[in-house]
Amino acid sequence: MVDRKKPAHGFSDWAWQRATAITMVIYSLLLAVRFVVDAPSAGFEGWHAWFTPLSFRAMTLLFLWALIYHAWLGVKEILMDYVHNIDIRAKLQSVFGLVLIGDAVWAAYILWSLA
Amino acid sequence: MASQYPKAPKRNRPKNLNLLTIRLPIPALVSIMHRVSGAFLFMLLPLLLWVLHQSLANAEAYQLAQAVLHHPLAKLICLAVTWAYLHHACAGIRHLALDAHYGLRLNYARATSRAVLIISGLLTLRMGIWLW
Repeated sequence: MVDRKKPAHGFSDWAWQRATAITMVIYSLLLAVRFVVDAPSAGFEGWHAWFTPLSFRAMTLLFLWALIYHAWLGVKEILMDYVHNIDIRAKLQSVFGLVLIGDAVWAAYILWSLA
Repeated sequence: MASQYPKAPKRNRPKNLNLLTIRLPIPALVSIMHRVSGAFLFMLLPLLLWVLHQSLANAEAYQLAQAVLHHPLAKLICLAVTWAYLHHACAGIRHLALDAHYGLRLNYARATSRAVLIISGLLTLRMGIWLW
C-alpha cells in the first residue's frame, strides 16, 4: 500500500504527532488555569478584551495550528488503515488536506483580525 | 526446491467478526474510542472555528453565537465535543506513558484504560454541570 519510491515519513510523523499533542496538553492546562484565575468578564467586550493580549493570541494560534497538524497526521493514518485503493485514498487525502489548510488560514484570520 | 521446513498444519480457527457479539478488551475499547473521538473532533473543527469567529468578530455576531450555543442541541454537541477532547487527551497521555514503556503489563494496561474512561467521564460531567 505504500509507495516505496517516495521518502517515508514514519518517524517524523510519529514525533510530530507527540510534539503537537504535548503542545495541546500544555495549552489546555494553561487555558483552564487562566479561566479560573482571570475569568473573562461577561458580554462581548469582556470576551474580546480577554483575547487582546498578543501573548494569548499567539499561544492560541500555536495551539490551533498544532491541533490542525495533529489532525492531519491522524486523518492520514485512518485513511491508510481503511481506504486501500491508492487513487481514492490520494483523492481523499487531498480533500481533507485542503480542508485543514483552510482551517489553519481561518484560525490565523480569526485571531489576527482582532488587532 | 521445496521448503525444507514441514508445512504448518492447517487449523480451523474459529472466526468471530460479528461486531455485535465481539466483547472488546478494555484497552481495545479505549483505543478505538481514541480514534473515533479524534475523527469526530476533526469533523467538528470548522463548526468550532465558526463559533470562535462569531464570538470575536463584533457584538451582534457574539449575540448570534450566544443564541446558537443556548440551544439544547448545541449544548449537547458542546458536551460531545468536550467528552471527545477529554477522552482523546487522556488516552493520548496514556499513549505517551506506553511510549516510555510505563504501564505495559496487562494488569496496568487494563487499570490505566479504566482510569482514562473514568477521568474523562468525570471531567466531562464537571463541564456538563458548568454548561447547564
